[in-house]
Amino acid sequence: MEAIEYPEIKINTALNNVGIHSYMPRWTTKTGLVGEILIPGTFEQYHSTIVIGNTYPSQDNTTKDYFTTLSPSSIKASAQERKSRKYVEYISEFSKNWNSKRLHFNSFTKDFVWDNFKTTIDQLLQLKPDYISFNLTNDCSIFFKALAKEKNIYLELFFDEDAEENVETIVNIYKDGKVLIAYGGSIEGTFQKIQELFISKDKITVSTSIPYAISSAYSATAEF
Amino acid sequence: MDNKVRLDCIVRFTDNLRDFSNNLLGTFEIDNIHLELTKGEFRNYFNGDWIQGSSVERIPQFKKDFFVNKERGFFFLSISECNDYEVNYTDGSNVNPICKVLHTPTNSNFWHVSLRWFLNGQDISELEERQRRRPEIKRILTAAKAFIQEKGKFDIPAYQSVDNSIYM
Repeated sequence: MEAIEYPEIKINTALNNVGIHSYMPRWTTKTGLVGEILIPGTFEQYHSTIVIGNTYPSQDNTTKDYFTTLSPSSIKASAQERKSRKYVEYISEFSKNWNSKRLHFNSFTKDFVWDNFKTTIDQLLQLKPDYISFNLTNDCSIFFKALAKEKNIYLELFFDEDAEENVETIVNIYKDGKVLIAYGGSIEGTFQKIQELFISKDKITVSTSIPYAISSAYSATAEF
Repeated sequence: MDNKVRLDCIVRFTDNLRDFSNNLLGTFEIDNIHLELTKGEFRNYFNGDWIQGSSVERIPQFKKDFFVNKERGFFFLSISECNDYEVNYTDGSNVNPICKVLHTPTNSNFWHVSLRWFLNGQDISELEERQRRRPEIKRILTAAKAFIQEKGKFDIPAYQSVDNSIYM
C-alpha cells in the first residue's frame, strides 16, 4: 500500500506525538502502529488517533479491523489531549456566552473575566471531574457545577470591584444530598479548602442536618 | 449528565432566588402548572399578594386572564427538605443562611408558596437593592442555587391536600 500524506492530522510535539483529528478514517503509520481512544462526554462522536513514534501517518482505507497498541505514555498523552479538547470546548462556550452576557459584567473586561475563568477551570480539572458545566449569570458572576469523586461542586465566581482582587469565589460541595463544605474567599484559598476536602476524605464532617418537621407528603413545584 | 435541574434554568433565576415562587401541591394539582397568566390588564393584580381576609376582586377568566401553556417545565421540591435548611459557611464570615418555606398566597393562587432565605432573622428578599451586593448575600445566592440543583426532583412525589380545618 502506498503511504499517503494526510495534512489534516497535526502532530502536536508538545503532547508527545499525539495526532488529533475529528473524524473517523482508519489510520496506520508506516510502522503499522495505530491506537484509538474513544473520548467520553460531549466528544463521543469523535475519536482521537494516537500516533506512536515519529513516523508520519498514512491513510489506510482498506483496513477494517485494526489493532490497538497503547503504551502508558500514550495513555497519559491521551488524557492530556482530552484535557486540551475540553479547553477548546470551554473556550468556545465561554466566548459564545460572553457576547450575550457582557453587559452584566459592568466594567470588567473579557480578558480579566477569562483569566479568572481559566484559572478556575484549571483548578477544577485537577480534581479529575466527570464533567464541568458553567453559566454566565446576570449578576456579574459565573456559576460552575462539576461532579468529581461523587461530590457535586457548586462554585460561583463573583466579579466585584469591592472584593479583594476584584473576584470572590464561593463554593458549596454536596455529597448524597448533604453539604460537605460551604466556603468563600479568593480562588486560591477556596481551592485549597476544596483540595483539603478531596484529600482528607476520611475527615469529612457533615455540617448540615435536614429536619423533617413538616410532613414530607407536602411538596411544592417550582416553575421554570 | 445527571437527573438534575438544568443549570441554566436556575441561574437565570438568580434575582428571583431571594424569593423563589412555588406552588403547594394538593389542591393545586400538577396540571395546574400549565396555567399561565396573560399580559393583560389584571396581571399585576393577579400576581399581587392576597391580603388575608380580603375578597378577590376578579376571578381569572380563561384566555383573557390566563391560558394553558403545555411548554412550561417544572420540578419538585420537598418542603421537609427545604424548610429550616441551614448552610454553614466555615470561612470565618459567620454566614449561616436558613431556608424557609412561606405561604404567600396571591390574588390568583392561594397555594403560592415562597422559598426565602433568612440571615440572622432578616429575610434577604426584603433588602434594598444596594444591600444585595454584600458578601454575605453572595454566599446566600450561591447556596440557594446549589440547594435547588441538589434538591430539585423530576419524579412525581406522593402528596396530599392540606386539611381544610387548617386554613378555612
